[in-house]
Amino acid sequence: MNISEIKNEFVLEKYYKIEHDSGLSIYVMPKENYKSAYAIFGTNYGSVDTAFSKKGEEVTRVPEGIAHFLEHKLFESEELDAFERYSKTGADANAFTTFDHTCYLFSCSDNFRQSLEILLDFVKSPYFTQQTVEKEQGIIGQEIKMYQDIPDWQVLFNLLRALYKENPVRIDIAGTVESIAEISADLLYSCYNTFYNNSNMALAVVGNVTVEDVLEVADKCLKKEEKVEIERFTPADTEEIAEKYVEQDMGVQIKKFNLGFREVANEKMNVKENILISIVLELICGKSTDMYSELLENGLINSAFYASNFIGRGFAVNIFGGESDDPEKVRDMLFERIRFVKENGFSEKAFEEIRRMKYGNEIKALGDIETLASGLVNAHFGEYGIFDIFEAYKTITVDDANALVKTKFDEAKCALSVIK
Amino acid sequence: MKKEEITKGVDLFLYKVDGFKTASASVNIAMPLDDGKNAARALLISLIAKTNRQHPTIQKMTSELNMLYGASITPSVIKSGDSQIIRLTLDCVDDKYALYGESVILKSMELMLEMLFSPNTDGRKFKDADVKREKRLMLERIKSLSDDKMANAVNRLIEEMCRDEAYSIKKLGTPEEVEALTGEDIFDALIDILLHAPIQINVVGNFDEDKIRTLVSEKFSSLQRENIAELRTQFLSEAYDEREVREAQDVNQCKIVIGMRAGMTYDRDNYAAIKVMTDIFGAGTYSKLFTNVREKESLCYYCSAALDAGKGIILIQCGVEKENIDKAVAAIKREFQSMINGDFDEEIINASKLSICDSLLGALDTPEDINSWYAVQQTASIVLSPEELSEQIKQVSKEEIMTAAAFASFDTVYILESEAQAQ
Repeated sequence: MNISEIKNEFVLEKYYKIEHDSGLSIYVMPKENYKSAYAIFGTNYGSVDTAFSKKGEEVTRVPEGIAHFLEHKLFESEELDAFERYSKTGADANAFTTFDHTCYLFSCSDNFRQSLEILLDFVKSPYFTQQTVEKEQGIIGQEIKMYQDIPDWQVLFNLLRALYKENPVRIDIAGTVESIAEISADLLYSCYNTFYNNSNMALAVVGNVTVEDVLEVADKCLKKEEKVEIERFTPADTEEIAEKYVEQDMGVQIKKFNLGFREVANEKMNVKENILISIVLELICGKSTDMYSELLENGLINSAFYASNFIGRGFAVNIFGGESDDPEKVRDMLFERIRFVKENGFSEKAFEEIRRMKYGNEIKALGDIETLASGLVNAHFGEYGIFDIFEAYKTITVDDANALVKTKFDEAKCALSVIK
Repeated sequence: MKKEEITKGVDLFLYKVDGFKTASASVNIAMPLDDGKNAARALLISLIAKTNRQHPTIQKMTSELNMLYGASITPSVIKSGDSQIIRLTLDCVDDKYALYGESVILKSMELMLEMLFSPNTDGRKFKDADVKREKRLMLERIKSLSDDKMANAVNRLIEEMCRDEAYSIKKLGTPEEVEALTGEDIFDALIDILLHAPIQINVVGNFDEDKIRTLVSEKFSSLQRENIAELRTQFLSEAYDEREVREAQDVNQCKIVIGMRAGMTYDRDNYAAIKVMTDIFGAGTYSKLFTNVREKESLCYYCSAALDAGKGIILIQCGVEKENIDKAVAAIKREFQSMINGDFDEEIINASKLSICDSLLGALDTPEDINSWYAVQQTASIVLSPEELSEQIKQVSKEEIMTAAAFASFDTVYILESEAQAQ
């Protein structure tokens, strides 16, 4: 076992990274002044992992939505399910599945070690039967239908389907009522045995905890596992996007839109580039720009307008979203603005202002144990450190931003998704 | 925490804590929902958070906040019992992270107060362009809210269930009320709150208390405050009768919202017992609704109950297939009956108390948490600390839970079903 301390003198924070004998990477960030603790146990496995193999074995293709289905089913066991066990500690437990991760978490202010033991134990003890699989199909079927009624969710997935013909980021995280009907206990075990190996997982704990607390439980609950070499088969996408414009009628009173530029996804997480992109988005149409005022004063956007850098394993999209009676006009004005900034760049003053704002937001995030714990898990899977962000803020310049913007926002790779 | 009255009806809560990354503050302004000015106030709070005299454009205001290390001052409108609260919430970095030794907290607080005291007006009215923009934004926000099917189902339930109470009044006003607003109306609403509204200001973080106190005092002491508005909430401890309202829209999933009267006559009336009762019935993952209606019967993804003590009502929400609507409503009622009958053991009571008390224990962990804890209690009859509340929760007995259930009554069932299936 190897424990290293990672410190940042500037933000006055430190955390410990533990290479546990079980093969699991564990992160512990004790925070003074906090009564509560937050633990998150994640696997580098999500809805986009639809075809995979253990090295040397045959390729397994699985139904859409199986990672999310597995997340639901893991809470069950032959005896007490995880929620029943947590009810004896008072912890508030939950789980979620994204495109590329599945995470199990709890927050608590007391009985931390007992709750951590439950978390590690149930995630490492799968129990799937055909009967319990069928029971879950009803519950998840209703979850899928709930999301079908949420316009903001639909507008995003319609956009992703317009931008990607092949990449599984285009499929709904929970799958469809039809696809989840194909899920069997055997398929769940196959996914579990591939992706829930300690070497493909990470545990992060932040708050009112010590390294000793965490190790005591980890030593007890985690068994050494041989590393699994995973191969993922994500289909290469076509050069062309699928559609430039997609529309769905949901009877909304004000149209919702997502304008997305498909970007080249980096093989590895690039911290500096991500920070620059978030600054560039702010410089293109943030509230301090002429562009924002122009859109707002012309009645083309409202308070729901935002820009975001939507990235994950194998996909990257820059999204401008919001509500508008005329989304195509918004697109045209953003196109014009982006052409202008590619040509002329941003001013040093504007860049410095946004850099300062973003720096402040990063500092604020260091006060939130939930954000920190999730950040540690994401950083592990992205192979970077959470303090790298602060180093990157020190070195970036307006020239970096001006160079970067030229390489992004290709109009030929842009689609507009509208809910009306 | 120290509470001090700065001037008539203006309370300042200073909560000094060290060792955090952030500071958090809020100005909370409460008025009766039914005084006819709710639409004007809702619009006012959005408007003054965007521009003021020193920062007459959104760009200038945003730049100022950006230079304060991304400080945010967020306007919000809350319905709290039969009162409307308009609120500005400030979140900023702690002063030790300022790069040039400036006091971010002090400067941001000043900016937040200037929003109220130095509005960008033309004499006694707000500027036409600002008013026009804010009216459009408010009308679109109201439309957008009704496009959210789950939230809209809750709103429709409240409209139906509380149709004879102030509580049914929309916190943002109706589209017609918003349309009719003028720059004068909004200015009048500002003067009205500055002179007559109960105001609570919270400041949490590491700051110079004297400087903050002086800053707030200077602003408010110039006002001739009188006739401070009295805030009352009508509590119906029992439903008159049970009603069902069905409506149809183009939805994939039917939404059920059930409103109950919690048996309360004021906001702290038997609060702890009713809280635990509601929690066992439908709030936690150990609750009857979760374990039976969702997990055993697989009827739904969400089925939960929540207590709104400020109004003495319990809201139950569930999303199901059309053919399961009656089954789900019957299951919810059956589960509630089992609460009255006492069909629950000490184990689930302990689970509920543990869960509630655990979250209370960490409820004041950050400056944002502390600010929020005391802001939401602005209209409460008694302000409680998490420890005090925790003590009350621990004392609740099984008999008290059963009694709490027996005194609660079903009022209105609202069902939103899909159009094609509605005939």
